[in-house]
Amino acid sequence: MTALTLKNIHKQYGDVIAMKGIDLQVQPEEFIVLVGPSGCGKSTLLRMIAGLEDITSGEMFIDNVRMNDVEADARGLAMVFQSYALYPHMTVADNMGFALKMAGVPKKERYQKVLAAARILQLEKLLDRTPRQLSGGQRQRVAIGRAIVRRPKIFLFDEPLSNLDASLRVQMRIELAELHRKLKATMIYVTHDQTEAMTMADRIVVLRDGSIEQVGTPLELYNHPANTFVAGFIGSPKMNLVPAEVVEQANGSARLDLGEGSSVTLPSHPGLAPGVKLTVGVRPERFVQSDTGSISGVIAVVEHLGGETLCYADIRPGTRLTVKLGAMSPVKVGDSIRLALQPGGALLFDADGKAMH
Amino acid sequence: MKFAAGLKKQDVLRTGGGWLVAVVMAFPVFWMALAAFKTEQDAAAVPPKLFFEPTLENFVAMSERVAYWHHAWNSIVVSFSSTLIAIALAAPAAYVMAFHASKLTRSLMLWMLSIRFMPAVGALIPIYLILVALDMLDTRLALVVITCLSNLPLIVWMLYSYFKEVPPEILEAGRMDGARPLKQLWYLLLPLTLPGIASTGLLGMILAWNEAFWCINITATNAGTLALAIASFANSEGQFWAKLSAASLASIAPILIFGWITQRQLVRGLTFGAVK
Repeated sequence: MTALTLKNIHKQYGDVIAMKGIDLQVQPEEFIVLVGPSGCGKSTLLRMIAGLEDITSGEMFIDNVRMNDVEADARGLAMVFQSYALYPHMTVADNMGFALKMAGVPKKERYQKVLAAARILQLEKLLDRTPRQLSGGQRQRVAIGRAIVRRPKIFLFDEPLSNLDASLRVQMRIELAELHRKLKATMIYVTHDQTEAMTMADRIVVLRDGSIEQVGTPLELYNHPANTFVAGFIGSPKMNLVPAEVVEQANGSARLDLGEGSSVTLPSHPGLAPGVKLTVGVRPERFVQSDTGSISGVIAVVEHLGGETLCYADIRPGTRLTVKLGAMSPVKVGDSIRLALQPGGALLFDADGKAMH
Repeated sequence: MKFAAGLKKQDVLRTGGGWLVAVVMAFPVFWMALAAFKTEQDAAAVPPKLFFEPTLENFVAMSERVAYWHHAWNSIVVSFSSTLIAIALAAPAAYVMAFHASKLTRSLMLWMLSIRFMPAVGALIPIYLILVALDMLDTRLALVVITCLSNLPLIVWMLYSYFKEVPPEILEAGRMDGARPLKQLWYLLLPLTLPGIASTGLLGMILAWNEAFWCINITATNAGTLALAIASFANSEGQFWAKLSAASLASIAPILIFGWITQRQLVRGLTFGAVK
């Protein structure tokens, strides 16, 4: 049984097509992250799942029950909004108990359930306050608490951490991951931040322009991106994507020219005939500094981050590589640098940007 | 510091200007209030008298001539009930317009407001005939219905603008929590916009209280409000300034006092939303 099934979901606003045939299956207790740049439709998709937006065409099932025409509150979902959307005129306890009140749960039972949820989030002492007396992080907790109280089949999160400052965001990220383990609940989480996606997700769904680009575990997406978009979107610092041309293929290896004397030699591969133009993708940590390296460049920027050093090297005008080096690397702006690739460090993408396997 | 000093100078000018406008606007009311306590001779005196021996004879004359309490009660009933009914009708309409707008919403709102562009007299004869047919002339019900309907567009507009300030996510959260539209309105929107609703209500009440056209044309001694009572003093018998002033003062006093009592809550309510 799946917790949520989306079949060929479309969304259209007038002439604008916002979602173009989304297919997705979410397993029970799975933490799914929908990620993509702004305008990719991730929030729209979440709101369609929630029942706040109509589904133009396609079908949606929760626990194998068709949900297209079911009202938002009857779908058994709870949503945490980006702006928290707490009820400003109610206390924390009333905020958390509002859904139960609407469902006609007696006051005493309501209080018990609110208290139980408050304990999970350490909100017991704040139950009598109103939202305006709370800090950003506390408001965020209340919003999550409001969702927990309902014991939903699926939790929906719409960029819940984007209004918090950086350190609090990291802390809440860890708390959310713990909460997911504790509650053993199915969660669907929308973010534009690939770090949140990588750290929290069981599976990531990468969206662009209303279509799914790739679905997979964080490491699958990191190591085997399906196309240059996913390759560039997942991972920080970004993967280097360098245009290249096959110049030689012999004895089971192929040499790719990167321009201005830089080249890489890779195990041969069907489709790597001389003259073929493609894109080479290399993660910043897959470079090795080596005097015999076949890639040469001039260092333009150096960032010492303490534990590691990021070095930006121009291999030709307009092509800048991001290279992750050890903390003690004695590199200076203006130096020439020679780089080699770790074995298996390069991914190849064809002219359409699709991964070549 | 120079900048701050400049700002202060501007503030002084603004305050002075504000007072000037206020005095100009309030002067007729003040003069009317004075005249209400003058004898007819003093009221008509040239040059006008600022100092005189006050008298209550005008109020005595007024209460002999019109049933003040009867008309005052009518005014209270008509202004309260027409405003309450208008708000009850306008709130759901404004809710839909603010949160579930369609392509037609904007034109609908303009059309509603355009009804007020028409002079009331344009509708007088049809409405008069309808009331005759329904045997409702000189009834409070007729006055309540007409006042309510004529204030409705304005009240919808005001509530709409207050509702618009509520973030839609709050209602969406309510929707996820199981609150259908009427419950969203009752549990979320009304409490959140209470100050706005209160000022809308006050405005509606003032408009209804001061409404004279329909009152004079479709009511008489039975359902007439204070507006009718004042009107009966301005007739062909001549200019009785002092008595007219006394009647006017007695008519506006209740709503003036009511506004004065509620203004503190209103001002507090209106600034309440600004401090998040």
